[in-house]
Amino acid sequence: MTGALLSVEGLVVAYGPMPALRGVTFSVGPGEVSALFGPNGAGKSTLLKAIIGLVPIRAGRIRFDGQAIEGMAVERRVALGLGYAPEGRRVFAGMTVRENLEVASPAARPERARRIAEIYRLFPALGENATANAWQLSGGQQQMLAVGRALIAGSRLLLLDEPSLGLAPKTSRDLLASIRSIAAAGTSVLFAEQKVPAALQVADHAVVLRAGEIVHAGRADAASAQTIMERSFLGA
Amino acid sequence: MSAIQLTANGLALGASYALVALGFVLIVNATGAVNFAQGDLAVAGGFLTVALAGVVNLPGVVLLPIAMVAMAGFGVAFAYLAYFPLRHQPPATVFISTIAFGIVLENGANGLFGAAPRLGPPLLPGGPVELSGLILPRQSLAIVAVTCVLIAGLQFVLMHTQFGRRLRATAQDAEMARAVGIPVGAMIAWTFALAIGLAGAAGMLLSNQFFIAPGDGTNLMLKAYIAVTIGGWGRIWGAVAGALIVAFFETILAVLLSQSAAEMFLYLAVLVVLGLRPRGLLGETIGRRA
Repeated sequence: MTGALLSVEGLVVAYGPMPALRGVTFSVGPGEVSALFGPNGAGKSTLLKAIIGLVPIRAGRIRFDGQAIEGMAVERRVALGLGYAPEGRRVFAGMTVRENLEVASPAARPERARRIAEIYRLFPALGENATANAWQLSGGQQQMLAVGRALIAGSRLLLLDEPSLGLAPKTSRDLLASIRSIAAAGTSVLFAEQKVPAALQVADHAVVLRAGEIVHAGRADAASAQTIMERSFLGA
Repeated sequence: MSAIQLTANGLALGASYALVALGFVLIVNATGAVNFAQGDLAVAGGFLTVALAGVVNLPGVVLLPIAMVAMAGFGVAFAYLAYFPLRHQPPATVFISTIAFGIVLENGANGLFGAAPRLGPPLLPGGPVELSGLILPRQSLAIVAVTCVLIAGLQFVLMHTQFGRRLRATAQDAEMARAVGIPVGAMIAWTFALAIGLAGAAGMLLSNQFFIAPGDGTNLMLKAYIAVTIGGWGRIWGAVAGALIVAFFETILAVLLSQSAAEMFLYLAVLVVLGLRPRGLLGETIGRRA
């Protein structure tokens, strides 16, 4: 785990008596892109929520840049550099695109403006619709906004929950491609995804969850989509 | 009473109701909880200025910000006593807690000041003002002007400051607000401070023009609730429009018809609005709040 930006050790999360994660251990290195696969109910969303602090953990450790964060409030984790975009986007619908980005930025005004300009360069559609209310955007644009908002809130590790869910194929490909651009700028990315072949093209590492346990972890280039699917659904 | 005086009084009453209703909307948006003590908190603000005017010789325009700041501080205490300990309980628990808090305030005011209506300090000293040959009631104009300033200030804070954006984000999706690093608990406490500061202002404005009594809180709360229902839940301008409509019924229609007829028509209007536009005249689209 030495040198890992994020390391998760023996993580256990349960909803009442129902275990959602059973001793999950893995890590994400600086600048790396890790894809999280698994069928519905495998625990992907729970894992991302546990890392950002939105669900309580029963046991285990979460370290970010060497610092134990499992007991920290969500806002402190974000201040350390964790950004989170949930499944379903959940943009602030009644606020404009620019306001969605501004509200997530901890920086003072000049720095905030610079970072928003960076987001607009990454996702030009957001800049073109800066004054539109978020509810007026297409699904793809809303997803870009959710990713941009997460990036502006915490720029060291992005946690993205099924970013391509419900998007048209081209939009989905573009969005997954943007993950590589984000990583190239120095931000690590951990994203849950169902579109295995497309996700493997942008990921450095693949982690497969099944029934709350990791059943496969390795380099993405060594993991064929077929293997991932088999491990996800058959546990083979 | 001349038509102009009547209109000015109606606007002043509507403006005061608007401040109570705005506070109501702010808290509903931020927490999802209905603060049934909002009327009693306005009454508390009124009695606070009555008490202040008795010990310091300051004009109403100076007492107003003092009362607002004091009530805002009280609002934070209210949040920590009546809301935060119960926020993870079923919604009815917070309703009951705010009702209980309101009853405590009402009886506290009754014990301290007595049940009789009391007159608060005027915002500005002096009688009616003459404008282009029209005689206008000074206090009513002052109340409307102060309310406009407060609403404009609130609108500016909400729409053009990072603090306001954070309040709105918290109101729209508290969990997501946390996930982008917003200290949601602090934002909710600030919302209570703003809302109850506005209630305090309303109490002071009402106390001079319309007197204030410990038992007025329930009526004020009901009027705020009706204003928000007519205007639209979750909408600031809806609350203002609803408050002006309620005041129209209570002043102008009451003079033209009778007090009881005006009240009957007000509630009929509520039923009509609910039937035709269940979300209110300026009701929010799901997921949009401003």
